[in-house]
Amino acid sequence: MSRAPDPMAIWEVRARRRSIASVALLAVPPALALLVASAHLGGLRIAAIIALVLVAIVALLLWRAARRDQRTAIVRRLDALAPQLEDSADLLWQAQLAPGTLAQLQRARLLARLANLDVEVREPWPRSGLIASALASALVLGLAWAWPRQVAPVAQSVNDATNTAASASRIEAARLTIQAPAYTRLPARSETTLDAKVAQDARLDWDLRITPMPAAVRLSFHDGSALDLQREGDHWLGSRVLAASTLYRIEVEGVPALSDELHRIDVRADRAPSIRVIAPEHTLNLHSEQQRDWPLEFAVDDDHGIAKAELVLAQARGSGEGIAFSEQTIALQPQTGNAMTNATDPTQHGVTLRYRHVIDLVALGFASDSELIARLVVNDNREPSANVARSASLILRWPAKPATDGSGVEGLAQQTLPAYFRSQRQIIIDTQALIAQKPELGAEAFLQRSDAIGVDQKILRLRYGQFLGEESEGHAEAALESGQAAADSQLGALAGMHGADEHAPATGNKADAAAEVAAEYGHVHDIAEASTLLDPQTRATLKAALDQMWQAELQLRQGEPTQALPFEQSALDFIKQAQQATRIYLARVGLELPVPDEKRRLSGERGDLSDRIGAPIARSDAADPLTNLWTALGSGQTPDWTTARQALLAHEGDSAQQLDALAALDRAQRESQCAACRVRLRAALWPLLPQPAAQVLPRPAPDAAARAYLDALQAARGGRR
Amino acid sequence: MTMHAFSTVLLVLAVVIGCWRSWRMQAPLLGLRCAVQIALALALWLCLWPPSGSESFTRDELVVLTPGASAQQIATARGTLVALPGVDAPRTIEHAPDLATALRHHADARRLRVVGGGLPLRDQDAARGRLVAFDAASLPRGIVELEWPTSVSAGAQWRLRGRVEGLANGRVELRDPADQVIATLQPDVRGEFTAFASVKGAGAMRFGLRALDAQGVLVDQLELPIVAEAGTPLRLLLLADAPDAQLKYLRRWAQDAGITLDSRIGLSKDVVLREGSAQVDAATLAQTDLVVIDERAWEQLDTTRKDALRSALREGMGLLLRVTGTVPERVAQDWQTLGISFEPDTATTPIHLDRAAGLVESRLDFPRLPITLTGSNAAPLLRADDGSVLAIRRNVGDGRVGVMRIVDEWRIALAGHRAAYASLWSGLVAQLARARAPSAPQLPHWLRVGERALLCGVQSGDVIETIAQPTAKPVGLFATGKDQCAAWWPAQSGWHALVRGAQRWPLYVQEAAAASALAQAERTRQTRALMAAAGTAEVQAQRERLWPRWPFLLAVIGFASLLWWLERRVREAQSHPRN
Repeated sequence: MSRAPDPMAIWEVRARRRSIASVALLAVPPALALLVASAHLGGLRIAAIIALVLVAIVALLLWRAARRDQRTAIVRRLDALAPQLEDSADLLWQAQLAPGTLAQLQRARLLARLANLDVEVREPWPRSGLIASALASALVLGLAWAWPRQVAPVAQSVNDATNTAASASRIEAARLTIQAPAYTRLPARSETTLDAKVAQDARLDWDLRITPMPAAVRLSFHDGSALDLQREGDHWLGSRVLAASTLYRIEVEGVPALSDELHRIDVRADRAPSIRVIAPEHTLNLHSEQQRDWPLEFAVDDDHGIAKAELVLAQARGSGEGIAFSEQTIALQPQTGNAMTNATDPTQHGVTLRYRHVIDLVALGFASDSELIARLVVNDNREPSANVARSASLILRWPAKPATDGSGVEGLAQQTLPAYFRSQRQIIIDTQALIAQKPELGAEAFLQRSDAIGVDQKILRLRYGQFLGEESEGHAEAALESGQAAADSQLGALAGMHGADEHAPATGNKADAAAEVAAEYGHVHDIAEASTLLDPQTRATLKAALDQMWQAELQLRQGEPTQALPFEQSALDFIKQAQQATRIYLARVGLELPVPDEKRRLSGERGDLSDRIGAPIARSDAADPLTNLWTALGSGQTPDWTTARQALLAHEGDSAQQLDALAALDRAQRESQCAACRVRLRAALWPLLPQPAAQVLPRPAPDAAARAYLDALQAARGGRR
Repeated sequence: MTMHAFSTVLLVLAVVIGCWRSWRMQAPLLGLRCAVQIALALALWLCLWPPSGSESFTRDELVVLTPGASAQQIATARGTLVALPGVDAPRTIEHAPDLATALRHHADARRLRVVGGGLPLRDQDAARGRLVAFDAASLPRGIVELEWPTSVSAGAQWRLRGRVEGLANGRVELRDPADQVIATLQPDVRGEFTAFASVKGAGAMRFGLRALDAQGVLVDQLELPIVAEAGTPLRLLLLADAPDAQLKYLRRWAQDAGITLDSRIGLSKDVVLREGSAQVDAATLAQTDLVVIDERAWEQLDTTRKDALRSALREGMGLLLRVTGTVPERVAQDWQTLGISFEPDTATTPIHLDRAAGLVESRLDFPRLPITLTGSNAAPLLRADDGSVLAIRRNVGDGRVGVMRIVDEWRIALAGHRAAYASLWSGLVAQLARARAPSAPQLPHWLRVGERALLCGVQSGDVIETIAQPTAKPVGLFATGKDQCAAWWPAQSGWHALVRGAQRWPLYVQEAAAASALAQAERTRQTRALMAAAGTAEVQAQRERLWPRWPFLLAVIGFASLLWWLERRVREAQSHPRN
């Protein structure tokens, strides 16, 4: 036997191939059908898992088909199909038979007959199995196709819409770099979102990558402005400094639109520093006797840092009207401080500094009549203009002298100075001197001197009279002492004012005749307060003093100072008594209008008088556009979006609420079928709506039945009458 | 022939034949045998047709377990028990789909004892007149009472009053339509709370109310739908004899509220501050809805003008008399003819309007004029916080006359409570002005998904639109009855609108499960009210009742046995001699 191909080996190979092919044809279509169905119903992830399992199963089946013992099957088939092999086909594979045996002979015969043998040794195709497999696969596919797909809820339809839009054109990568102003010392940070909270005046850099590549990219802001991004490679770059919160949208050209989502940048304004006074505990402090210094301590908070802190010291010296002020400024350096930077949120940034200063009161010249006012003024390092904060005024005061208070005294009491009443004593001294000089003087000179003292006495009397609310007389004479008598007291001030008013015109220029007339009739002739200045008892005492002065003046004018002297003395006594009552009482009385004289009332010239036509300023009739929008949204009508948007942009107030409403309006306008968006917009509008005045809903008019009832009722009533 | 008569005839025949045969047989004991046969027939007849007797009954009280019944109430309930839907009752207790069905099953039930939260609206008609006892369950935690207006005029202030149950130290939050808290209320010891809030422009809106316990945990929340209606533009005529701050604020409000105001304010003799024509004559007054006049201006009017005012008042105009000081004798006499009179008031304490006008601790006090207002058939229009009447009104013809003795109320506006001031005047004017608002349908306060709602005053062609879902088909209403009422079962929660041509009346439908505590408390209240109306239910009653059959059946068997024994003896006696 040459090395011609062994027919048995060929048979085996062919049978193995057929077996593998059969298994493959049976198993692969259902596996593929299952795979497709799972991908269709369960998604790619589940399909991938199922694919792995199926591949394993199919591989196992194929491996088993390949490993199957083909020889037995072939022998069986040969025995069945080829009678000429005489049921001895298995001898064909027994090459090592002992020669000369029957079996060997039989094998040789069989081998000889092989040449003419035409037998299909391979298994036939499993027809029914293949048909079943194909049908099952088709059934699986058909079921998967017809299976009801899971219906997405309505709320997700928005997202689906944006997703499908994004599938056409979307942002591959976004980077928002935020560089806060230098003074804030905040590090630059990057966000991968398009919404951010940034410090005021921060510079924002957008870096977007959009697929497919658009022709142009623009950021359009809610206030109508736009920022065109520049292309660099496949990146789109642009930057802007933001001073106020804004909404923006990314618009592209040349490719399908991006999702119409609005992005929001919230701008945090720089806070002014806040100052806490740690020492002293109270704003008003009284100086203690051994106190040499005054320690002050402040804690200052700011969001980005403090540029400078100054202590402003104001010192007041003196009392009454003689108060002198001096002011000085001391720059303070922080004692301790910590800059707190929140690691988790770089936008939270804060600085707390402490300032301490001890004021040396001795060096400052703080004396018994002084008052020291200290105040801390802090500037933060905001640019271009710093925020300035001022602390409360801290006052160090020298304790007031204990006042001798009368008890049970109603009214406002004020200490007065008795120095003013001295000139009555002077008159007495003058009078005594005149009496002493009488022998040396001539009668004429004596009379003149006496008269001069009388004039003094009169001026004094008039001055006291003013305190009792009396009008003075004799303008020319009163001028003499008006300047000299202006003592440093309220009484003096009152009197001096009156005197100055009275006599200013006398020294004036004739050219100002009109002004003189005005001054003459325009000035206050009786000071209402003056008549109630003194309490009744003091008034009585002063009245008595005036009477005595009057008598003294009478005698002096007649040249009889000797007789005037007792009156002068008693006048001085009364004044002394008045001096004991060192208080002025301001009576508390209400406004008491005089009773009108009905006969004279409305009896003047009335010829030019006529009715006045007037109405309150009308509020504009046009309804508020925001209210209109709100009403339209509530009743399901189509609102006037343009007017409402303009009104919203022009609205002044809380910008966060305004931006909320703008974003909601944008969403509701774009999705006209979205009921939830309308509800959200209505809620966002509510805080911005004006509060109208309450309108009136009158009673409903009676209908026919009610009308008839009312008529019958009235007829019955009328009939009874 | 009825069964009754037929069976009687048959029995009589049987007895007659039996007796006759016995007689023929010449048997002994003939009398006894006939008597027993008659007795047997009678017993059989009575067994077939038992007699009825009247009896007084006591066992026909039906105990109805209603939703909200506690487990303990169910366990201790005795008698004939029926559980309505929503009751977690054991299966041994009969369950009925509604009370009417239960009453058909228990036709003898004349008296109802209700256990639990009370009968739902559906069952209240069936129980009317039968309810004698109500074993109410304790109220659930949450908001159990609530009063608020569903419809106010635009810009007006409205008042909310309610009560919470089981929330010691809790609080109630009122939220505005933007869901911001506008008032945090501390209920008093009885759980009651009051709040004021304002609506803005015309439209429908929803305020929110939340009840939180002492730890701040949300216990109950519900929604308060309110419709702000645009006001009617009215014409007012203001007559005063001297300008004052009150008139300034009043005119300002009228201008802002869209009221056409003509005014005539005296400045001096023959000199007035005039706005509009401000004529007092019949033609002008016929166009005017309300005249506001003070006592000094009244004194200046001549007789013609006074008569014009009186006749216009009878024709439907409103007249508001402002008392600003001492009323002169002549004016008092004039006003007496309108039915208004004054009496001196001795109280001198100042007047507070915090509760009346919805000012929260404003500490504003107003001077008290030393008069009280009286009038025949007069109704109070405004009360001070201490209960004293500040304004009254009475009907004169078709119109209304009112008189107010409050002065300086403009200080409410000055103190910053402009909405309160405007609402005060809006309420006064609305009560007094000419009745001229178009008639509106009467809409229910609460609408709930799946619950029957009754809308009255509707017309054919009215439809209900669902605003929350614009694509939904409008629901047509079918009105019947004298009041033109239509029923509607809302299917969806949210805002709806009753639409008649261009007119729309918004309606808010609550969720089915919303405000469950309030709903249960409402059921309890309504059931109590039903019990009050059930005073005529008879406790003891007579009724016909069939006698039981079994004694007669026993008698039939007994007599039949006796007859059998007798016949046997007779046969034996007859056969024995032959043998």
